[in-house]
Amino acid sequence: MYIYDKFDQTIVRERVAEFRGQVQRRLAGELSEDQFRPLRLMNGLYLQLHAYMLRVAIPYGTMSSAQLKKLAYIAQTYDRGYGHFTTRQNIQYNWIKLEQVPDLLNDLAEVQLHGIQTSGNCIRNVTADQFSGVAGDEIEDPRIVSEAVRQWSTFHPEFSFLPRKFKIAVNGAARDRAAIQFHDIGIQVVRGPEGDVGYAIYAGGGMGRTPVVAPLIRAFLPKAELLSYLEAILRVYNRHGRRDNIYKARIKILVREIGAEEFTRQVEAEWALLRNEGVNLPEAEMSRIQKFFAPPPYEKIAAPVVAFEQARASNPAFARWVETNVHTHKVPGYGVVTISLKPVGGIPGDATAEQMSQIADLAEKYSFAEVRVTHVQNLVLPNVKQADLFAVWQQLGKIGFADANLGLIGDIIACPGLDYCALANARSIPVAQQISERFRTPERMKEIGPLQIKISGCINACGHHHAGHIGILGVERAGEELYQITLGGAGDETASIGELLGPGFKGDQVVDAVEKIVNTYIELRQPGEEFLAAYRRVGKAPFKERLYASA
Amino acid sequence: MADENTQVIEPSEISAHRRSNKAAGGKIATGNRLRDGVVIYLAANGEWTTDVDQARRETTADGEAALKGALDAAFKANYLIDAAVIDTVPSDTKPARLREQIRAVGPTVRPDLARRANW
Amino acid sequence: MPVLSIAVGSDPAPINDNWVRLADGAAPNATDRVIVPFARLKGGDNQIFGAAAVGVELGGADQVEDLKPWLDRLSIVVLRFATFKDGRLFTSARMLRQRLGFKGDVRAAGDFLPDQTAFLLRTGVSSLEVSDTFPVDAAASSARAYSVRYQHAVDGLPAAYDERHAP
Repeated sequence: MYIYDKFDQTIVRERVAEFRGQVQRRLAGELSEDQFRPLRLMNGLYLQLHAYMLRVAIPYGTMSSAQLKKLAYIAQTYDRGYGHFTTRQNIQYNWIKLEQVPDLLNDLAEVQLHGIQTSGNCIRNVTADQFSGVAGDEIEDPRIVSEAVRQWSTFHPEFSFLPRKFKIAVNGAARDRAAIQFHDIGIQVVRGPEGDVGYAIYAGGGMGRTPVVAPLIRAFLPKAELLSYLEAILRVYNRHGRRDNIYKARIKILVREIGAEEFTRQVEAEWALLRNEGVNLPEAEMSRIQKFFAPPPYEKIAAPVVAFEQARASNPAFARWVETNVHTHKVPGYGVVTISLKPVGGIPGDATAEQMSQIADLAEKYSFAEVRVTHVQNLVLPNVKQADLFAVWQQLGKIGFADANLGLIGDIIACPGLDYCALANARSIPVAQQISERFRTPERMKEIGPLQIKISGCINACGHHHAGHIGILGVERAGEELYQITLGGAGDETASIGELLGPGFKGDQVVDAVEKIVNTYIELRQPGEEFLAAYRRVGKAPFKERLYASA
Repeated sequence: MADENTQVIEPSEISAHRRSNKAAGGKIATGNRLRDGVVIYLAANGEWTTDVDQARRETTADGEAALKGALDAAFKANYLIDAAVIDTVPSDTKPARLREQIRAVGPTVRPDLARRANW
Repeated sequence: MPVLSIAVGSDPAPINDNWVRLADGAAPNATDRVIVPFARLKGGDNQIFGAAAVGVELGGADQVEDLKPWLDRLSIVVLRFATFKDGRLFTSARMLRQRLGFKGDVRAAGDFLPDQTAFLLRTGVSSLEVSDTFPVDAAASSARAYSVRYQHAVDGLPAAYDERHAP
């Protein structure tokens, strides 16, 4: 993974010093809250219901075991012993004291972590496929370009006060595991006509109150020209994106209002000039970054790995976990382990300091000291030898994270919702807990098959409900929590936006409604047909009929 | 994952247009303490308290104006942020809205962290 | 209002500013250095060029390219922030310098934050019009907050990648 040199380290250190000064000025009354708010937001510091919340960036979801240890330390020292992994591959802490933030950031800086641009109307932490570098279907490790984008976007002097926030995602494989078409810019690594590596560029996607699947605006961009092209998109957006209405300020609205074709024309015109203005990264820097993502020293392992096969044969629970949570590694004899942070009845994405610390130890011991965060709020040990999988699974069992539910109905995304968030209209977490309880048995989950449930507590859609096979949106109606259900959303390479089924449900009726939908699917599916495919075949009518018939 | 800058809402406006359906209840003043973000309420003795049960409850227009005055002064003194006058249920300092009940108690999903028993 | 000059490597310094805003429709004195709204330039009012020096004030919605016909006769371009959130003006400043080659003074005015001084400097702003209570110290610390940058901008300073691969 990428390791800071003195230049990167200096920037982060200088940021801590700058923010320390700003906090002092605020506490001394020299800065008003109106003046301070944008400054703290650009450092990931929000005010939520109960306290300040700090969001720490985990660039493109990759971190070292030492960094995860430090995150555990932060949870223990400055928070209430836990943190929450988010759909942007970040972590947030819920009980932060403003006066302690400068010291906290100083501690983070020791391990090359920070909260820079995890909020505010700027280019946010870039996200990427959590299986980068280890998946077999990859053209190029998307973290190489992600790191280039991270550096370019950090304290960009022209683009730090955009009309709204701006999110970029990169995917390097055929399978889209980064939901790139729901981003302001989605970058897909592709091969060009001559077999050379470049990028397909999508722009203007997003969720929120106006969900949009991003159109493709350029089918092939040469590798060396990425930054000037991004700069052209950002410049067109910065100049022409709407600033009169916060709900219409995202780039998706600009692209929609002027049309993808006209938007592309403007970007290309700007790019024609910008590409010669010294924005592109020199080849030498690109290769320097690339070297950090060279594969770790894998062992040559002969298949089959006998101990692993034996454990799988003799222990059904382990076998089930391997089947659901271990992805094929590009190197024979290794596996990619996804640690589900979705125990039955648990809070999706939450981990205690102790759990983080234990996972860091596992990464240290079994996975070349590397951990990933997924946008589905799970963690990944990317490089585990098959021979070690049983030991890893057992260790995970001890900390309550051995659930075999990846991609199944128990693997729910939920935003913090009204339990924590100042913007939420309804709670999300209790709904996730109830659903995971209802469908708790492995047999039931297996019977249902791949099914993604995503829950947001307000229209801002941090819980990605638009992209859920079953999406749940919490709203407030006459002082009560009410949940609307959408079906058919997808965040992969077949991206689609879920369709609203009908009137919403009260909190105590949501799980029954989900169960009716699940049962309807099971009855109408064809052999081997997954939920999403079945929905796309039959549409919403049968589900709607069943759901509202007896209501 | 929520976005504080998604909406720019004056907290006092929230109470004006989102919590006005409990006319029979009272009003209390709340905010978050600047230095640590802790939820606080104006108490009957004029101090700020973290305990909603100690909050000064007002039922008249003059009383509400006094709450607003105290919030305004504390905001200007850089003592609290996100100031709001919120509705309570009749004859108790229990906030009327679920959102404010959660602020007073803590996340419903973490009873171990609760600041008081739920109502 | 007080004016501070800003430049790479030095603290913001007060300068004796004798620019005046020309009243709507008024003719300038030949000895005056006048700043006019962009609309007056676009209206084809050539009498303003009877002044000793001429400048123009742009808001966030103005397109800097539209200045081209007059640019070589302008000594200052004022960029007025209606709100500090109006990031369009950073683009305007940068394009004025890089795309249009403007060599005169580029001045930020209005509601910008002292903490934005580093970005203003990087995008080619050379002076700040400020209120009497403007915290100059805060602007000074912003200007020297960072010794490393990840991008090329107008200030001509090397990016981290230049320094990494310097011979």
